[in-house]
Amino acid sequence: MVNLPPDSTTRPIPLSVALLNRRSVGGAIVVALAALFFILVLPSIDAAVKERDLTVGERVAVGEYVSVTPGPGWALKPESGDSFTTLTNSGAQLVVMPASPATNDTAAQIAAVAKDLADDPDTSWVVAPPTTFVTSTGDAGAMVTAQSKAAATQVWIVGGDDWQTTIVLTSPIAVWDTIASSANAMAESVTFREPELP
Amino acid sequence: MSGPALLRAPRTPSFVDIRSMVFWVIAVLGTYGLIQVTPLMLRGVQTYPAAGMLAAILWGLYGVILAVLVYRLELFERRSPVTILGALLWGAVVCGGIGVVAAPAMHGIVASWLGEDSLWITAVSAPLVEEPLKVLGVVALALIPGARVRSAADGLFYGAIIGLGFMLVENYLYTMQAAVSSTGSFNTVIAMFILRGVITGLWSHATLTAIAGGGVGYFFNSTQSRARRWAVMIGALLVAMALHAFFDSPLLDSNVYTATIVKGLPLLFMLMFVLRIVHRREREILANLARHTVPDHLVSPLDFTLLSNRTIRSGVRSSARKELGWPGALAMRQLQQSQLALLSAAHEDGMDSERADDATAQVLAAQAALAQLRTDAAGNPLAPPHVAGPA
Repeated sequence: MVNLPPDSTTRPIPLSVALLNRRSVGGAIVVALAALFFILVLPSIDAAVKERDLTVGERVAVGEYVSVTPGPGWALKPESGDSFTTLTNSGAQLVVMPASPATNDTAAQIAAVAKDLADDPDTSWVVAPPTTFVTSTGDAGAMVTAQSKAAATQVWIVGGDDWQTTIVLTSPIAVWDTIASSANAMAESVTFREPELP
Repeated sequence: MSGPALLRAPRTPSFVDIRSMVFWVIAVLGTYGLIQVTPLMLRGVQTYPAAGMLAAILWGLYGVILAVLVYRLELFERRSPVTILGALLWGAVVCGGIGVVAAPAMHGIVASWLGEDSLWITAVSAPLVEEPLKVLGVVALALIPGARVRSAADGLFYGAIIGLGFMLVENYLYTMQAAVSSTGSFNTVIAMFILRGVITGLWSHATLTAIAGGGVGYFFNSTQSRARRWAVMIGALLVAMALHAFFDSPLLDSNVYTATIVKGLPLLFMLMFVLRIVHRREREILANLARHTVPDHLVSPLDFTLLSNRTIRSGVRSSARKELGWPGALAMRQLQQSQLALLSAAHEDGMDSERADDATAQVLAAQAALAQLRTDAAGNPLAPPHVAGPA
């Protein structure tokens, strides 16, 4: 134990000194409550203010010939219509375009999208090399991903025998990591309904 | 107070204090964060191990370089490695883990408010979650006396380390997410490293939390009125949040280089401003200790003048080298370090502490070694044994 300098005896003690060798139960409660706010309260508020989640696994029709299976946490944006369908999740948007006649060259189309992103005059994107994939029903797809300082985007093009569709994800960068898996799964769930013969 | 205040040294040498409830809260939150963040960390590595390894090496080296830089920003180096590691883990694991839950929730809330098409969602959401979470780590450390957050400079330092930890995990996850999307492309990993590490990373989380952490250090150590201390702490946090929002805003984003420079400069200026203030305060505290608490034969006020910043210390060592050669410079470095360690021990643990006793012994040994060198150089065995500084 030591004596503080003479002038310190007439001044208040700093909080750091007053806390010496205390158990700091009050401080622990403050830290725990602050953390619980972020872990429990924020998600509860988000759940209360967002649109009602789509039922996981229940297919959503996009126009007449395309459907996708939503993952957990995705809601249907009310303005969605016949021209396209928009799903939202934590500030991210997944726009699913209705079917258009297939061109059977999804890789070339996605390469063009990648070039457009790389040449985007409004945002500096890091564009990853495009990749290909196969949907759950065996249709061929291609995908490109790009990230900027604060956002991420993914574009999928899926082509069937007669139809193709384009899906575009735009996401805040902080959210992308947690929603990317379910967005990828939705792209892989694309199913085309064959046109009826005349 | 009617009599001299009695001060005991903290009961632990670092923030690891099993008798502090705050330590156990940190431990629980660390476990929670680990559970949340580990699967995300491993996801890319399992799928593309080579890309994962490259990302880990790049961001690991980046972290080491920035940590050294942060360390060099300090006026005096004297931190417990265990507490530094704890701060790094708070940023990486606790902030990273809680952020996995809180960031999407906040983005969802803000998107509901601004509309999903708004370009300002990230600029509003990210500072509201990330800055308070990181600053909470500085507060938690300050609540454990063993962490020795005993000045605004300490708060600034631990804030920078927490910000660095968070930035490393965040950037690693973003990099691996991009790598996974490109089937493990090395080019993507390197491009992400350049974007997030070199172009936009140099003045992001570490800088922001350093500013806010300085406010926490002030709150816990100033003897000013409670209102003023609260105002400084909350004000520093709000400044960090505002700078974060500006940095993440869509303004000027058409050119990432221009945007980074224009948005980064206010951050840099603010950091320099805060650094200047906290260094001045730290110098005053230690000068006061050299004047009133530490005996003059160990660290006199004149000695402290020669210790007060890196440039002067370097000049003193240079003089010692000219006078006594490299052994003299090394002995002078030893003396400077032991004198600074003694001042730190006196400030944080008191002069009667075991730490101060150890530092005192080191100062005396360094003084004797330097005196012996001078004696040998002068060829005079009767030279005085005590030398506190360069002749």
